[in-house]
Amino acid sequence: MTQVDLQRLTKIYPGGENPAVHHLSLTIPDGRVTALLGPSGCGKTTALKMVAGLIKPSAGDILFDGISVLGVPTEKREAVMAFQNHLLFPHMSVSENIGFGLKMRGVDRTAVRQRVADMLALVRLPGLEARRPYQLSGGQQQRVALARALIVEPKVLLLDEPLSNLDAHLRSEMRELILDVQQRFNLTTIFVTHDQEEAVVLADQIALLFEGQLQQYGPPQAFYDRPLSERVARFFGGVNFIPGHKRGEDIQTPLGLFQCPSAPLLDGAVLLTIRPENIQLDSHASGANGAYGRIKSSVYMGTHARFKILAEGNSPQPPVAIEVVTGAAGVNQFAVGQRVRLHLPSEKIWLVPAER
Amino acid sequence: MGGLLLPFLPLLLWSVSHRWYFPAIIPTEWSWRAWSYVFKANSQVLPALGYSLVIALATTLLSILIGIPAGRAMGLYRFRGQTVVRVLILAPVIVPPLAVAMGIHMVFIRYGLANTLAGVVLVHLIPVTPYVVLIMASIFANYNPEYEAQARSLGARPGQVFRYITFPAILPGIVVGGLFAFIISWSEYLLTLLIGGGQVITLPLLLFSFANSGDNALTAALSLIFIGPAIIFLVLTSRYLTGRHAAVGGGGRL
Ligand SMILES: Nc1ncnc2c1ncn2[C@@H]1O[C@H](COP(=O)(O)OP(=O)(O)O)[C@@H](O)[C@H]1O
Ligand SMILES: [Mg+2]
Repeated sequence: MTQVDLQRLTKIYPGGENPAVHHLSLTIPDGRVTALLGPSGCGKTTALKMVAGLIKPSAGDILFDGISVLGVPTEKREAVMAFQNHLLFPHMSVSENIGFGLKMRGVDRTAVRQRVADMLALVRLPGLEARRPYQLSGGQQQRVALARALIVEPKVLLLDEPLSNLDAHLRSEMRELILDVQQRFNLTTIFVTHDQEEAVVLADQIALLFEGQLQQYGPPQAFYDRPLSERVARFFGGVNFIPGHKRGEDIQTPLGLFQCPSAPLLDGAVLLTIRPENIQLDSHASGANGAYGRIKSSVYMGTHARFKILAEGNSPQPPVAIEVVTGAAGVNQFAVGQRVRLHLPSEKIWLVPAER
Repeated sequence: MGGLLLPFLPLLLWSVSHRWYFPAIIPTEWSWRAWSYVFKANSQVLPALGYSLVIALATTLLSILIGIPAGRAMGLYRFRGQTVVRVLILAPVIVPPLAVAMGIHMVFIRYGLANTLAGVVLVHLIPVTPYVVLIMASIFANYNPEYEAQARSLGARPGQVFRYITFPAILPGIVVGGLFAFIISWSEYLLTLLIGGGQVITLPLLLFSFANSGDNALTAALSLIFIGPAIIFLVLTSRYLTGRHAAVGGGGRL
């Protein structure tokens, strides 16, 4: 039961031009799963290693339950990190690997053996005590690494890309295992991933990093519904960005006037964004928050259909490319070349600042 | 193994011969004279054996203590001036040791190290250390230090990290480097002569002086004593020279 606070945490590697992590401030809630998400090289592993005590921050502070742990050495910090490539010790058996942390703490041998057996059962690998790491499959190795971290009952569990080396079905198995274990122990868990889908499925909170800087922090839904910037929206699969100018509640765009009372308090140049599945297609209807367009292409995707549409307003400006996702039946309803009416519900419209 | 010992048969025969002239295939007269001299209470052989062992073991230990951190720095990290350091480490192998030893002799005299056991050990480190550092560097080049970070995160103190993670991984290098160090120190003649100044008499020194005196039986007996420990060392470490534990070629196991 530990809340982790990062306060303006910064790491500048010797010889590095830009900070690997820059002024990262986060309050990571107790007993929940928090994802550090971002493209490769954005500083996720660096941040995790600082929490684990393996890298000394250049500036900033790390608090566990309000107390700074910067002076606590790694081995006493009780924030156990499981590394990206599982790093099972090759010269030890599975049970020696799992029991390693307890042995280092001087726990006696029979107790270690019992706890190792419990852990193997927990990660669903009973009976593999005597195996060597190279005799295990990738999924088994990852589960042994998880057991090895859990056995010491850490305050904070740190997982670096726990699913990245697994193929699809092992991934979902491992994902369930992590969630199951995390809920059982009510463990504050921070995990690192570059895969936004993984973060959404596993995490209660997501911290999105670009180039060492926090872009947005919040529950997964917020990244779809209320992204703070065009880059954040694009990272989460946003594709529709219509330039506009906001005054009051009205947004003037090349497609006409749109209204969105729920959008953030921006003024001036904005980008109007809406997820493709939230746009409604009609062959005739009219009304507010709408535009006309011609279907350029369509793709049938089994459970849904995806359309590329060139939309235009009344003004003599170039058309705007819009993507729309409908139910699978949409593919029979709308044909390429057809002229359609797009409806952008005002509560689904979101605004981000226009970037120059 | 038997084939390996075959070359020592003539030495063995020589050491127990009294008369052995061409074209006899085996000695025509036998004698234990050489061996009884070797084990005589006041012979020079046993003290020389002792000196040689102490010097070789101390040189081996010290060179490994230097080789581990130096090899780690060379093999694991990239730093400015690394090429220069690499050349400097190799220099003693290329420059004739006598040239180095002459200069060092002056320094040793000033610090009272000339004609002492400690001085001889220090001067043996000159030809020995480069090999040990290079072997350790090649081990560390194939070593992933993240294992150490992983161990620390799991609760291992620095000493425990070395004992349970680093040491097992670099053991093949330590063994092979140690073997090189032992054998080089064990057979060193010139540097011992120069720095030992006749006070520190090791087996090679004794061997050369017997060989010079033309006493074939004694030279043969001493040669056998000289070769013995090196062979024992080699056999004990042979499993690290080949196969799964090999330090050369295959790299460490981590
Ligand atoms: N030990 C190091 N020395 C210098 N630069 C490093 C080191 N480790 C990582 N970096 C740099 O810091 C940045 C962040 O790296 P990292 O934290 O590993 O990113 P991520 O885990 O998000 O892929 C990268 O630009 C990387 O090149
Ligand atoms: Mg990483």
